[in-house]
Amino acid sequence: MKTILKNTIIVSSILLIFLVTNINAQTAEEWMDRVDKNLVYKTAESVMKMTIHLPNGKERVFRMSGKVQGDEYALLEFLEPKRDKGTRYLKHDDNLWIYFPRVDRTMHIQGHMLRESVQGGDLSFEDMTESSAWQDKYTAEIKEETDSTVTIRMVTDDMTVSYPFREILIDRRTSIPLKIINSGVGEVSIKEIVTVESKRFGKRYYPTVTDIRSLLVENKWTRFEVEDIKFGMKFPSDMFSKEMLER
Amino acid sequence: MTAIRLAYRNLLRNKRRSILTSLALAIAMMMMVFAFGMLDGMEEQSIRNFISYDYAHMKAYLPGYLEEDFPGLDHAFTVPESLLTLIEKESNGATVTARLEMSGVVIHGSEETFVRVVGVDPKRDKEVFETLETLSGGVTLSDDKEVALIGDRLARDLKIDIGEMATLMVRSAPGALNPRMLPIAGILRTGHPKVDQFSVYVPLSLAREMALLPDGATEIAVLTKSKSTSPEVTAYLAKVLPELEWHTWVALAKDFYSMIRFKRYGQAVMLGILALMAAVGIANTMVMSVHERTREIGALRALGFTPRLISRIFMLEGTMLGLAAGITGVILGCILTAWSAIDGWSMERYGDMDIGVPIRDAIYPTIQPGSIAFSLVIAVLLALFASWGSARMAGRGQVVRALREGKL
Repeated sequence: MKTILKNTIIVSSILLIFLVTNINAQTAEEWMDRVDKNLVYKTAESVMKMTIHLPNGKERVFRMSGKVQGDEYALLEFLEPKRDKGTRYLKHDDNLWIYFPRVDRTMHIQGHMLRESVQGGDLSFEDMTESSAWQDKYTAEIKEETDSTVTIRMVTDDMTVSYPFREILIDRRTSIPLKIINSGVGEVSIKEIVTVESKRFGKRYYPTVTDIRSLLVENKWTRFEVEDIKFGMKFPSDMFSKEMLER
Repeated sequence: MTAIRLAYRNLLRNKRRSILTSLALAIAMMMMVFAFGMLDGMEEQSIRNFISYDYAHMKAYLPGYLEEDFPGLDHAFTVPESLLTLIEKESNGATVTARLEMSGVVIHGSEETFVRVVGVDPKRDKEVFETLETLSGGVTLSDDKEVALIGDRLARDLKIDIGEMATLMVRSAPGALNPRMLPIAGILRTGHPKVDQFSVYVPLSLAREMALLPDGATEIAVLTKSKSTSPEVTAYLAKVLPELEWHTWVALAKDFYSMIRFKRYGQAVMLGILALMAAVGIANTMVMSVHERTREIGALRALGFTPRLISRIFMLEGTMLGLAAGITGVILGCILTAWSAIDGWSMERYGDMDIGVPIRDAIYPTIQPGSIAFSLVIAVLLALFASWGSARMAGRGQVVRALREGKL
């Protein structure tokens, strides 16, 4: 009898712990917190490949290396194609400088131009260097749950963000967004971001192959591949300076 | 009178040579009249397009708007109806409208193009600009309908027709993207590339809604009773409303005028070279004429003609040659210009390339009295200049040597 009671207590405790853990994980904020832990970083250094698939069936391929420090600084350099090789972008808050090595000139862009697409693709410079916690800007609620996924709907009244509505399908196991639908004012869907592949880097999972598809333009999408990425390094103090941009 | 008669006879003595010599100068003058006609026509059409579709007679912006390479909605300002009424009152019966201009993307199927989205008040805009009336098909904008008008070249690029739906996406003033599905109500064909190729027009109320800027506008446009009074009205409005930057259409078109000036310089250099070549031909003919007529010059001197009178005869010869060339060139130039003006000088050869001129289809050259007078004066002056050396040579000749040896 004692053994049965003991076993019942143990099983109940395990169930309770499991239940409590599960209940905690079921809030939208909890899920978004997990996603942020994967995607938000202090510093990162990466080599990326971007393939823009145009509606006429043509492809434009770009390779670039990037260094990012929080939401504040980013330095991006094009490695391919030959035509764009050496072109560098430096972002500091709301300012963007573009250095063109062929003419040895730097162009300064401010504000809204940061949000224009890079090389005519579906990604803006802001998208490529964004590393801020989504919870800072949105309120989240669970829209749908399955055994393997959770769908979170995020809304904001802050009209300074590009997409006031976002819907995120999260993989329960990795806490990686499998699909994000970004919508504008009036909740009109604009862009769909699908994680094709993700890898584990230490404690975090990070999407390494992503497809970004315009939901407004037919047959136009961009594949973004992270060929190599490292997190948490310390950059020299002059890394995000105009000297480094024009070096 | 004797000198004129003699000079005239000398010209007729060798008709073929005189004709051929003056022909070179006539061709240069013809080109000058035509080239001036082209530039004058281009300028006239451009001014018409600037005023009718883009600048009106003057515009007001927030300070700094025009200095921006990519002006955004951060330079928008509140324009209540009362402000427009005040400007109307202060500008002595001018018509006034507000526009909200922003960059955006228009999408149809798999076609996507960056455009300038212009929010216009249909009633007021028609009193200032001709844009909304210049339709090649469909109907124009009205206050109560959420529709769009697009340029015909843009419609061609997007493969869209009247009645079809397009998605217009703009970035609102705070930053959020704002896409709207809108039916195309009409297609514009103004002849101004900026309108026909790069612009989408929507009602101002809709543009304000999309930009999240109630009462917002990026510019105020004013059309005065006459374009000649616009500088005074602009200066006055700048005093009344100093918080805005006021510009006349001339100031707004300063890049165009720089381009026209540059073109005129370039053209002057080319035509100058052409005219100089023709002048060298005249100089050559005159020198030959002097050498052929040394004994005659000697005889005239012996008969009592002064060296000055001899020089004058040759100068008159050159002048007559130049005048004949000038008149012929001007007539030919006018014929060529008038003929070119029938169908215009097609801009199709430049494709969709922006050559800095607000003209799309064709340039229609015009004949200006000033150009004609200028060409005639240039022809005569060149001929005078070209015959000056030989005239001096003829006047300086020794009577005995000229008669005996046939040398001056």
